[in-house]
Amino acid sequence: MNYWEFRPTALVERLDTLVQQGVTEVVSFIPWQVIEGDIQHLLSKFLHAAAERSISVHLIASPELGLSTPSSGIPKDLLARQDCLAVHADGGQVVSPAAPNFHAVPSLHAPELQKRFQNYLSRIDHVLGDVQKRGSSGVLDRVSLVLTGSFWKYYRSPKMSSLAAFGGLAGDFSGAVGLQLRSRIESRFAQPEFADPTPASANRWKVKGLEHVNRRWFMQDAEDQFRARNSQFFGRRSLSLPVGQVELFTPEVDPSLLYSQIIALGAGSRPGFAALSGLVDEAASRRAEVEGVAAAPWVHWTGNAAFASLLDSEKQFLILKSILLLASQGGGVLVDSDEWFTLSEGFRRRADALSRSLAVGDYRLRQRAFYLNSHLWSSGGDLWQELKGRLGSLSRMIASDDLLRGDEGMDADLLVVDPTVILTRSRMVHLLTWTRAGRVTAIPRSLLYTESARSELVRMCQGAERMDLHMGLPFELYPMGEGKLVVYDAHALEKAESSETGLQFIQSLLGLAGIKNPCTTSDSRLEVVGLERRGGGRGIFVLNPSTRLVEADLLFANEVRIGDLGEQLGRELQAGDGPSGDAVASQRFHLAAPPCGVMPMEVMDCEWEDELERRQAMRVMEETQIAAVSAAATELAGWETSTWN
Amino acid sequence: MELTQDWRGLQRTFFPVRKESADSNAPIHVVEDSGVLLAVHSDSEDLSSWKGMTVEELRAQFPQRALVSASQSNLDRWLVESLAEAHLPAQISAIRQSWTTASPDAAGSLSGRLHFLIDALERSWWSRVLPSSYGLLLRLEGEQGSTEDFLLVYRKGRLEQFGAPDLSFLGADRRASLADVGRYIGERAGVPVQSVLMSMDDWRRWSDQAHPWKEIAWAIQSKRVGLVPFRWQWVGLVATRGFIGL
Repeated sequence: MNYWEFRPTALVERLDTLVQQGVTEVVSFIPWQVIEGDIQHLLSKFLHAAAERSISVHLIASPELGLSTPSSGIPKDLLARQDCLAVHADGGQVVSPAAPNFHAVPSLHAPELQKRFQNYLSRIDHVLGDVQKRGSSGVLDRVSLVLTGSFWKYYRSPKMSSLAAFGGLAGDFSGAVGLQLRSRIESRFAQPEFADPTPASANRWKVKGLEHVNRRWFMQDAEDQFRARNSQFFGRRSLSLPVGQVELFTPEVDPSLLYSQIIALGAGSRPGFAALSGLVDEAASRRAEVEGVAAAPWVHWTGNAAFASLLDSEKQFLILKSILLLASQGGGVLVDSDEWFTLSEGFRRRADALSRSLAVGDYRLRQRAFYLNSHLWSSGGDLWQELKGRLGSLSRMIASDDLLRGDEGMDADLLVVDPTVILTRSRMVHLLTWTRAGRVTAIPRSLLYTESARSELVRMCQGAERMDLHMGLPFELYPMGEGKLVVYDAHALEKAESSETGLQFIQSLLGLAGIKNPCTTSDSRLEVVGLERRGGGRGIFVLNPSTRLVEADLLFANEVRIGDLGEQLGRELQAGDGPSGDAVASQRFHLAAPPCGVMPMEVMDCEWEDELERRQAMRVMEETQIAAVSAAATELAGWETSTWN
Repeated sequence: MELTQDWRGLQRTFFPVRKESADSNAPIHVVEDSGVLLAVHSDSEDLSSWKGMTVEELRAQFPQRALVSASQSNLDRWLVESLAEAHLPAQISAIRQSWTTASPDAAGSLSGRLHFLIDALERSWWSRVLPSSYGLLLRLEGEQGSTEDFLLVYRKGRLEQFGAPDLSFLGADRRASLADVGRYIGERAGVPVQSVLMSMDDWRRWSDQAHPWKEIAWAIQSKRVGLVPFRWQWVGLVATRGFIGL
């Protein structure tokens, strides 16, 4: 809800309407320029009015794009300064294509912007402090702050991303970056690990040939620091409001849609729905983190850009898809309140039932494979494309190995490390420990190892029986505890002329990790989202993003029985002919998916569940053993060097 | 006067969602870089899967359809130039202008899509005879007596503000009177205001047409469309456009 768009009387009326419609929580942005010039105390009035109606308010205290205010609320004076504007890899300005106006996107590296940004945070803190001090008691009891990843993910070339949404090198290439990049590279490689074995060794990391590697690392590091600083800012304040970290993505302002949006607006026609649907997949397939903890993925559908021009059936599809892919990972979807209430009551009820079911953890999306990249918003190369192509929503890109420690990391069976990742000793130890618990990790053989990381790898592989294989790529296979370590030839991958190389290699990794996609379709236009159900069983959602009826077969890895999940979620999400032969166990079912339809079904697959349980038990056992060995090494002096362990 | 720029209102009122065109020969708009397609758009179907292929391949597949193309470098330049404009309608208009100047083929398929009223106010000879600053208030009557107001304010020939006017300071009886509302808005905005009253159904039907002026002229004559105050100057503009086609 955009509180700044309402006159105080209209704001109260709107909140009353929301209460009548059963709304108990709202999310609102705090646009930068709006809060800086809030002489009418609109935010305070909004919080008071919401508190009086017992509505919880989540305030997004980070600058974002696609807001319904001129230039998304970014101060005009910053946008007027060339030195404050972000520049993408092709050398052009980064532009946000949403109403009320197209505008340039500022550089979060620009010193002037950083100064002003501190004022923005202080201003929010001041206004909220004022509300607490002078306002009615308990007015902030239901208020929380939400911090997001801001503009970083949009620093991409529209030319490169038109062909592949997150293709090419992302990041800000403005003048402000140059000096900071040099200085961060100097300080990073001055660390003792990079100066091993001789101080001159540090220079090899700074050569021009590694500039793209260093730039990716720098961009990720700058973003991580930005998020950590913002988190600490509100953590230090006396207000002690709950602060949540999310990765908010607004597909409508994505650079990959810039040119199509211009044409659609110029010709007065509707924008491409398929591209928006594809961007939801992109949002769901990347996992950001803040200080070692995963940031919940959220998608924002605005009321002032492409989404508003879609047909209701298309809007409903995008909302359901966002809920399925993001709420099942602890995230969710923000929909403009005006847009939400234009949709039918029946749809809203069904979407609400699905969201509640996912929010309480009845169903969850289980990750099977991770791809560790050096920069979350840059291309992951052929290996990532093939992994995503084979596993779809079961694969996830990450930019920090800290996420392997979380619940998702515990579930996964496979990790592929991108050739641009620098491997330090601590990272190597972490990856190898993770592998030992019955998993498969593929690391590149490249020049991007520190000496101590290389020594650690040699030590861990010593005595292990090495196998040399060639499946797409040449690689070495080492048993590692209950798991397997694959060291692949990054140079051969770079030289590969066909995408078959990457595909064959990924297929062999999936085979090694025992990962099968449990459900696929015979028609590539259909998408399948499989969620695990608490207490056993699975929910399978078949999505038809096309505007035509699609008849296809649903193919399962094992024999399964299928039931109607729609009944449990409050009737079907969209009418259509469900799979035939409901009660019969089979590996193949025929279905007819309606245009923009989402078909839920319940799947009973005993073989798959037994396999999962077996893996989980083995993993717990191995991890307990690793923990015990680690504890012994800490507590018992000389234990590590003894011969009988 | 709290009226600013209500993009959503503008979108709802002037750019209603259109279904895909049934015309299988609708022109195809493309953005290309060295012959490689970066964006492909058609009103009749989703051609986004053509991205990454070449213009020649697309032309070979659709030989009967007009291909309106812009190079990526040109579009980037036009886009950056348009950022100086105040709001999206003006920015799109500027890009459209640059595109049609560079490629006259684009004129038919790009400008023809502009709403008939915006087209007349901004792109026809009307802009030379209308005052440089004025307001146009549309009051659209729905079923069961509900009304929706939408105000456009032009200053120095440019659309500066648009949205539902704030009438909270007017009593209910004065709000119902279009003459009072027009006067009130005129005083607050400091511009002469012409109010137009019509049914929502008529407005929607006409908004789907490129040139509904003749029908509108007849509707004014039969009082199905009301002008408040009634100015012959406006009647003349509508009639000239409707009957002479200018």
